[in-house]
Amino acid sequence: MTPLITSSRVVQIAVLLLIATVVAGCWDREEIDNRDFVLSTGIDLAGPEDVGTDLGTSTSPDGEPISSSDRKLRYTIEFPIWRALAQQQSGGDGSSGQRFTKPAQVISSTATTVFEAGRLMSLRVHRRIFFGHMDLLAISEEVAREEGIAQVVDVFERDPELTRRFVVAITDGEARELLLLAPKEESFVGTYVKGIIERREKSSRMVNGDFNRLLISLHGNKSAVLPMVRVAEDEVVMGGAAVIKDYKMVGKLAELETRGLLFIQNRVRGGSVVLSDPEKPWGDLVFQIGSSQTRVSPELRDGEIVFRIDISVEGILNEQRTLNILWDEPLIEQVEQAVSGRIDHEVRRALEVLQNVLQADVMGFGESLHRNLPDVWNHVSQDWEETYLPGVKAEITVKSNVRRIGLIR
Amino acid sequence: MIRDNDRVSSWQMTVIVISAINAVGILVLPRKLADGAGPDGWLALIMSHAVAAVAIVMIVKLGSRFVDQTFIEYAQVIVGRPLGLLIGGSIALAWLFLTARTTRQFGDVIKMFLLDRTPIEVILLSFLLLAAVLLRHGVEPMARLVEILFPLFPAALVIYAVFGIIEADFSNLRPVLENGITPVIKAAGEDLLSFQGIGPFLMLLPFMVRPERAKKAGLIALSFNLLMRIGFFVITVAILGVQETAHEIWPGLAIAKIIQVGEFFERVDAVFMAIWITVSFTTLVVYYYLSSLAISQLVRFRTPFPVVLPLLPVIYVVSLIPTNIIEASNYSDILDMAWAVSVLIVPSGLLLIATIRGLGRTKQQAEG
Repeated sequence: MTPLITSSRVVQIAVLLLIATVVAGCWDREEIDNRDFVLSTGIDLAGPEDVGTDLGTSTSPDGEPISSSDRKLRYTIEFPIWRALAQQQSGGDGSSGQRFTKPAQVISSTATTVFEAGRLMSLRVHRRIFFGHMDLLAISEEVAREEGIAQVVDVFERDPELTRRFVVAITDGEARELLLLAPKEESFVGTYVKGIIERREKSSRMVNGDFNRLLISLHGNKSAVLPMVRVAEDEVVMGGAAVIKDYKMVGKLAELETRGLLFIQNRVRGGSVVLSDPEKPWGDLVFQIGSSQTRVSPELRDGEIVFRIDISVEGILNEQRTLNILWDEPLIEQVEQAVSGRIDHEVRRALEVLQNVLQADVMGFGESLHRNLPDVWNHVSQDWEETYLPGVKAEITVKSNVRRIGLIR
Repeated sequence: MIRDNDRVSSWQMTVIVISAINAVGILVLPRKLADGAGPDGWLALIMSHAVAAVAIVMIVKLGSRFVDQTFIEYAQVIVGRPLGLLIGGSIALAWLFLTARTTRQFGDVIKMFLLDRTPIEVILLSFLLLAAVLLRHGVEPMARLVEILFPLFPAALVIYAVFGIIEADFSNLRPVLENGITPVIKAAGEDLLSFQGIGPFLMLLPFMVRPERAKKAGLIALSFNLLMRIGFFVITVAILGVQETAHEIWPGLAIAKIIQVGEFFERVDAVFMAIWITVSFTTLVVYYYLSSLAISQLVRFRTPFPVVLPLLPVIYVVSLIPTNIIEASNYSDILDMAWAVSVLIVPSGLLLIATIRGLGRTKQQAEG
């Protein structure tokens, strides 16, 4: 019997250990403190104030512009400065009146393409910029209207470092302005905006802007909806939606129009419907949407495409300001009808804007037609949005149910 | 010539077949199917697997006439030594290319998603060296390794399905057969990977403990594989939609980037990468073993042992022939096509000749 530890075995183990040090993938090893974790990225068109920054870096040695378009993009990133964050958290030595400073750095660089601008960032940042934990991509309305969304996000889709789970939002003004903001409740704009989006079902007045959904939608029929963000003094305010058609932003939906769209897409999970009519027995009343189900089914009637949109909503009555007694079944039925009327109105408004004004099929009517009536779709798929979509009739039926009325009669 | 412990059980045969079919290719498969057949890709899968099943039954029939010989050996018996060497040689060459293909696809994915700055030489050589160390010990360690690592593959797909279902919209699979059956048949031609499952039956039948169970093992492997692939295709299209599936180079990895395990674990794509590395490794060892066994028998060595290490640089060089990922993908398609066609024609021809010449054992003899 051989002993368990022999000299040849020692050699074998030594060789194995040596191999392990060589093949463990050390080329890509990176210390975590050598990374800057980008939390949000903003893309603007470069303005006159950017002229001169990075001058020469995106031109060839002869001074000729490299890209055919001389339009430059300004690319801004926000990343935390852990040192500042740690100092802030260890109690600002009793000086509570001190001005609130943001424990993050926001820097910009300009170039003709997004990737180039990102690389030029390395002229200003001494660590590796890591995008794997990015929460927000803010694109300014200008860029969305003039450059196009798919063109700008291509680099984010192609890069394996990024997830497909961050939020894409359109900013009313400049994206850089949004990133510079220092919200008090949360230090970083990216995290802040993502938090608002995650709680969108409280109002159902905005769309979710998930990067994955955006890509699916863009590659489906070149259109999409994205949430709108604006800066109001030192606050972030969200609401409404930007409508993208042929990869470019063509218009906006107001908050209640956005909810109309969400009803069609079966994405409403909450929110409130306000009835305000002092003449009626219910007076001023708030219906809180608890759940909602929508079925959209296309039909062909006498050569016309009709979309049946059946919405069924249920919820509770939460507030009533005219102090009437609600403990009354016929009254509740009337309330239900009034709520249905409101929702019907919201949906019609959304359809009016999307079908006739913007002619953008973000509702997915074309795809629904394709799936349910493929023969009809083959006839109309050419020029669907411009020629056929405005003529599509919608037959909306809303059924509302009031389940409870709160704690008092 | 077969050592005492060089035995493969029926279950091991099943997992070897499944491993031979599935490498990084499965991450690409939904794209090819969605591109060719749209939402009907699952029908294409059924078709290709049905044809592959016929081929397997035929091979096993041929193989069971020569129970203690491999394809390389009995091909020489059936059509004579020169022609047999030619057929055996081309099969061995095909396996060599398949080994190189597996290595290359593995390298491309690793380079893209994990080890950006590590030289491709180091990635590939460490992958190949590990396989070589294993294969120097023969068929049984290979079979056992594949058996041990196999559950990772279905586990990954189950995780996809369970955590992806939140994002899934199964109406993405409609309309059914919009453009008729023709695009589906064409797309079935894209799923030629299922024919790779035939390889193990050419060489490993004499190693089986109970060769009479080979047919059953093959059919179980194919049905299991079919189920996994349909499931994978359906969940991918349900999550991404047909257009987006066709847009992604590796739709399987796009899904890994989407799914979240609970609210807490995001970015599980690294975990999936680890799983796909392991799955590719099992594929590599199977082909590496098949090619070294085939070559050693062509030159009449008693074991594949001396061939394994000399093959390593060959595989490495062949795997680096395509200059870019598109060329690699095109070569790989040609390889699959050539393999599928020859594996349908050659064994049926051999079976016919063997029957006419009355070579090998007939069924009655085998039973008697």
